[in-house]
Amino acid sequence: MESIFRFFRRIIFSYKQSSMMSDWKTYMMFDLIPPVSQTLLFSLVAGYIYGTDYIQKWMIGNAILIASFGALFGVGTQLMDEKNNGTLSFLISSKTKLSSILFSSAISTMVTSMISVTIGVVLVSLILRINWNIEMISSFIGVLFLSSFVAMSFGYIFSCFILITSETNLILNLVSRLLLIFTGANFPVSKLPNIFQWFSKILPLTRSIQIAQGLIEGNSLSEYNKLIYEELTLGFSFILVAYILLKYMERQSRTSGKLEFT
Amino acid sequence: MKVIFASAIVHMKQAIARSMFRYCLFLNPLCNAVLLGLMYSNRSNQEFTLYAILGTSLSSFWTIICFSSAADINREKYLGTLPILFTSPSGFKKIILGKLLGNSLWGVIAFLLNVFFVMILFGRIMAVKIYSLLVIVIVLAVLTFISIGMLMCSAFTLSRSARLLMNLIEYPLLLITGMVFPLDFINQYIKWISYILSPTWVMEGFKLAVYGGNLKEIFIVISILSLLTVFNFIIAYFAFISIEKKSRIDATLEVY
Repeated sequence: MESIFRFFRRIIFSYKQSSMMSDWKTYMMFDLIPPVSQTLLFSLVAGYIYGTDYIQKWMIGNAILIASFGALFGVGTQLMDEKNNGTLSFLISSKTKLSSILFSSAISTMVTSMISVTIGVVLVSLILRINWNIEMISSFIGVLFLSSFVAMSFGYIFSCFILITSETNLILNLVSRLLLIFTGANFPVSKLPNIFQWFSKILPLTRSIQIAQGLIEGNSLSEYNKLIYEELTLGFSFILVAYILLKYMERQSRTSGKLEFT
Repeated sequence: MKVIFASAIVHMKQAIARSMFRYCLFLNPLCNAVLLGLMYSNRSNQEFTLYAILGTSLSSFWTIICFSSAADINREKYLGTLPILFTSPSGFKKIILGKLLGNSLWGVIAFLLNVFFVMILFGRIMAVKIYSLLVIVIVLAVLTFISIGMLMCSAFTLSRSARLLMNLIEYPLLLITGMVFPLDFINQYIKWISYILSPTWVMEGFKLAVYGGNLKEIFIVISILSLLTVFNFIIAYFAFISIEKKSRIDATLEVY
């Protein structure tokens, strides 16, 4: 029972560490204004190219994608902060497994990221004068959970890299660019060459974006059961891969003893 | 001049040694080229040239200037060398100007790489009517980005949130200067802010180079762009003087 309480305590600590309550200026300048302006920028470009009638469709794809960047970067850079603060070696040598520490703060990051996207979507909808009905809102919340989960699990893989390299930030920036291109948030995936269409299918968020765009076009969430299962499977697969990677890299960092140097 | 060029050369060497800078220089333009190139692939040659080739390349240039200006000050502060730059005989302004010149030269390379990537990947050529104007506007764009960089450096010297500020301004500037879509698409009131920002006029210059224009239009755009650039330099100059004074009084340069 104590371990369960500890798990939830860690979620709360992690949330307090990054929540807007503790530092609202950082929250605004880092977690809110850049994602909102990025969503707005790509929505307007897409609106200009494909016509304003379709602006909602591209706005929602970008909102989902850019919100997920919050989860991706939040989880992906967690261990980097520990390393910068000199506490990573303590985490490695503590009794609690690194994976469970990481997983509990990943949940907190997912929650923070969902709060940001909700505020972001409201703001962008007000600016672009996009109307929402109750059914769309409830379906969107479902997609938001799905996309945040799959982005978090994807970020979980990259968080392990800090144990063997110091270039996690670069890798995450590159991955976020690839997601902008290959997930269909800004143009139909069918525009890509065949081999890249296949690549987009193994990326997270491609299906979440497809579902969100479908909902905006008036389809119901139940029509996308297959895509939801596929996205969930992808999310759990990422967690499994991350768990194995973390085990391997944790051992590597112990044997090489270069944790503080890389 | 010797100090400025020496500072620029050393800075360029240091910058390229960093992996994140190499990402901004090579991979970011490539990703921008693919993304905007695919989005604009069905549009006319002129539109493709203006936004997918020139606008995207300008945005890659802007990313280099935006992140470098803030990160350079932040790095000096973090390493504890910012007060040394302030008290050096060459002077803080000249050293920073040299650094910005170095960043801008890398920015021009990012710009050209971006142009090259889009043209190679999409097999499109630049549909430009007035090539001489294009060259003049690119030269003015370099100068105007140096002036904006000077302004940003002066602001970031006093701020302890340089890293946050650089994240904050990257996309809003792309949004309101019409680098990747026409300004007609944004709110009329926001447009007024756009017109006092020099990158907006760089894009206007590119538009005239692509679609063509009469001498009067060209003269107006070049004059406004030059005036705004000079204005930025003047503000940056006075900002640096007041910051130097304030920094010496407060002695908080090393407070990180």
